[in-house]
Amino acid sequence: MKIPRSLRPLLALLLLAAVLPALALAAAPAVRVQVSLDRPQLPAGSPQTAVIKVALDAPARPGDGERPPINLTLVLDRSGSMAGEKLERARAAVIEALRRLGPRDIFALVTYDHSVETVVPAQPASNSEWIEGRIRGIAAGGNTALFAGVSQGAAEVRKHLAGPYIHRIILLSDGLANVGPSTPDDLGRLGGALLKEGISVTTVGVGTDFNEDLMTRLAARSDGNHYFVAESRDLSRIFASELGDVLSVVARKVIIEIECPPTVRPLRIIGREGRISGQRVEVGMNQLYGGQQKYVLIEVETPAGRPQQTLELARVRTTYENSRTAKAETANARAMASFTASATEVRRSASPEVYQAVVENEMAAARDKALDLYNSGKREEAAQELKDTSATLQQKGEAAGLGAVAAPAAALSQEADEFQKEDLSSARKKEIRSESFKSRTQQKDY
Amino acid sequence: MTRSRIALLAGLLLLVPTLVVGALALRAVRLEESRLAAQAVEASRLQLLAGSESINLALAEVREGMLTTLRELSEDNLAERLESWRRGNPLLRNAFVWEAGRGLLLPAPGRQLTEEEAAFVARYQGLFAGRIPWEFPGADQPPPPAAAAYSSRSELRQLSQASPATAAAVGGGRAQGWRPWFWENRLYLLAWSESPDGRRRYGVELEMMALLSRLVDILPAAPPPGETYALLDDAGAVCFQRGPAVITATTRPLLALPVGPALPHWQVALYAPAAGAAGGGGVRLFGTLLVAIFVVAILAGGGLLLWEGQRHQRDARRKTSFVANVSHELKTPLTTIRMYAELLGEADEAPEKRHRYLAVIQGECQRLTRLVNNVLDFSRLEQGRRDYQRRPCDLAEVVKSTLAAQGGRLAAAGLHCQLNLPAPPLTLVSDRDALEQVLLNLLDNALKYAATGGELQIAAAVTDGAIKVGILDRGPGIPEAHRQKIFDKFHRVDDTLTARQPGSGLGLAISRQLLRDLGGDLLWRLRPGGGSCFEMILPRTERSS
Repeated sequence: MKIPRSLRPLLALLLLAAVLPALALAAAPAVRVQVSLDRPQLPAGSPQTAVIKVALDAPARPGDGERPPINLTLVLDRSGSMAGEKLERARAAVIEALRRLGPRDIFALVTYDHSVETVVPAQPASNSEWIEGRIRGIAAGGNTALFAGVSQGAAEVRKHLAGPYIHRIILLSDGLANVGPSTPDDLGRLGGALLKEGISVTTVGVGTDFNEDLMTRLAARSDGNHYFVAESRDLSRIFASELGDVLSVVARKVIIEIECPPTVRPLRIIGREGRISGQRVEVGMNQLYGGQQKYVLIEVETPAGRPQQTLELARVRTTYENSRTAKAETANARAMASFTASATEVRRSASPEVYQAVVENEMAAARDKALDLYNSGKREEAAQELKDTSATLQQKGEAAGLGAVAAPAAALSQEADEFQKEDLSSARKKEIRSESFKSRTQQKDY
Repeated sequence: MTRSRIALLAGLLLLVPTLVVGALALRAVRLEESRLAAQAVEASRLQLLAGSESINLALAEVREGMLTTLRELSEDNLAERLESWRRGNPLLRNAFVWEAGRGLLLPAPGRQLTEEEAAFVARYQGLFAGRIPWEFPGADQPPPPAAAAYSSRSELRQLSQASPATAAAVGGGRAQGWRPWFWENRLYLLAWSESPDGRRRYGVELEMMALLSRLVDILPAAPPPGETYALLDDAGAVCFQRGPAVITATTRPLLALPVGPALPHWQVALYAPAAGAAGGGGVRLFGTLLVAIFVVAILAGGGLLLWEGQRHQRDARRKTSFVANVSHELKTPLTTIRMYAELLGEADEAPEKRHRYLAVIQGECQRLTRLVNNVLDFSRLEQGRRDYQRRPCDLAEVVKSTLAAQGGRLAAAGLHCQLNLPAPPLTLVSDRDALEQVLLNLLDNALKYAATGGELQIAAAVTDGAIKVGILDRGPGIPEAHRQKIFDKFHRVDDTLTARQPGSGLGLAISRQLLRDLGGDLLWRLRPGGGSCFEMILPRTERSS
């Protein structure tokens, strides 16, 4: 077949047009990395501190797309305090959760009081009738061996650790762990160890008697979610929300590496936990949920710059496993700042979004710290911490011309009175902890 | 009394072997129970041993793995390699590099330490400062006595794991160690290795939480009912457990075994609160109950057989004596009748003599008839075939007519009869013939046995719904031993063939039976002043029977 010479480029273009979308689709990264600064224009002439916000955006997966299978183990507290409505609601919520799973998903259920029982060993969720029967048979009684429960749950998850699953333990408890290792630190470290295996523990605290420090620490260190459920009737909703998250995981084993040039010194990570070693900052997340943004805030110190100078503050390298393809992907970005002599320029360039993130995280961190102080009996210091943070944030906001963004920080000084005066109720403490947790991990509202 | 002696002997023959067998069975139950208990304890001990052995093996694997990795770790960029190993391995908590003379190189001393790193440095200060030796006293040495019970497999394993480190130490002069470390009452584990040049020591600290979490599978997943297995930490607190028991600080384990050198002072323990005892107790209770039932059944059955045998023997004896008595009784009047009939046959007798002979023959015939009637009555009563003709009748009239008919005999025996009846007519509904028969029997008895008293009193009294007729004599009375038995069938106070008075032993039995059938009774009482008092009790109105 002979094609006229004039038509050849057109044909080539047509071919390209046909192939390109396919290429684009195949190459579309699961995660988009955006790097922004609180002040892209820094004042010249003196060393400055800047906040780099590394935001990971995971687009929601199209509804018809195949999702990765889930390896879910529920760890249910069935100690005496759960008796009655709580356990009934929990059972119903578990069954509801089970029904949301598909035949490719793995489900296991562990209950614990002072001893541990694997009610449903890890198995495909398709055998739901038998599983539901087992769930309905759970009765309450005994102490709270939380450590053993989570350990047994982890053992169930490990049975399918090698598979292409999203591994998740959901722990539901309403009481204080009183058998086995029971300190927030111990359980936090267990969470950290599980995170290394790719297992996240989501903790659901029911009522006002659980140890919020332990539950948030366990969730934070294993990159799970934490829910504070004052009323057990909300359990079904919480489970639905959590499963929604788990079902929408688009990336796993996310590692954000931020490398600063020799002149720039990383100071701290705001809100999240991570590692700073020399010029390198590393923050890990076990998974990213579709349709949600997670971010990391890093404060760095820059050298004094000349006006008009452009400086690279950091190179960001994000590696993750695309949960749909189970392939490792990388996304890179750079954080660039320029220096200016004009204070107006600096103020004009200030980013309200980044600063809002900073305010939220600083507030959350301050609340957590204040609560720690309060719990160890240092009420005055707790109040002072809140007042200081409030003042600093507002002051910085004013300086950056973002007073409106910093305004919510004023709430901290009111809370300081609360910390100073009366005895904080258990429910209020849990509320503070879970709110802080949400801010610091960008957990979606539930 | 041979009879009672035989009975006693039979009873003993029954009782003694039964009790002996019962006691032996009880003993066997006890033995079985203690054997079961010992077996359960042994099984639990083996279970515990298996648990502690699995822990040891698991820890040995970990230790081998760690030490091998450390040994094979390349020297260049050591700190970075250790760090990345620590970051990836859930079992690792901290990594360190230490150089003699320079101190810690990792965590790097210059920069700001994280909380975790600071705690690590503080924890092992004594070690890094050289105050405390790197080798753990007792490590890499033959297992302590507590471990002597381990299986050969475990010992082999321990030997094999002990060798590489020792060999390396001897061969290349490169030391390695596995260091349990106690800090603020908690156990930490450190694996370290020496660089080939011997200057540096580097290693990792284990994440105890991850390690313990992995050990959760080691205890039996489904312990036998009632048993609880637990892993106790070095402070004696439960780390985790399998089984239903609620273990508090005061709960004492049934059995506790040290885990061994891998986790110094840790124990695997078995709790069987009351449940174990209840199981053994159940065997004992059940066994004892069975033995008791067995003994009681044998004794009851044997006793019943013995009693039946005795009763049959007694009945047989009575019947023999009854037959002999009755034959004797029948023979006496017959002899008399034959003798007088022969006399009558002799022609030369005077007519008045003949009349006397006839009267004797008549009397003897009547006696014979009474006797035969009694025997017939008795068998009828025994079979419950007697028909009673209940009609209104006057008791006074019955008594009087019976007395009138027997007046001659009474007078002949020298009995003065005294009748003492109340004024109103003693009417009642009853069987007149039966009443007459009872009265006759009683009068007969009085004639036979109480004629020496010379006096016979018949008195009647009316009470509510009953008439009582007493027949009182001044005879010898009834000996104490026979008072309970005189109304028994065939019983005679003197039942020898040579008894002075003839009798079948049926009169009183029949009389009482008749009166009872009519709704009344016959009783005997000692008469004040000597003699017997037989009391007939008769209901005034007929009771439906």
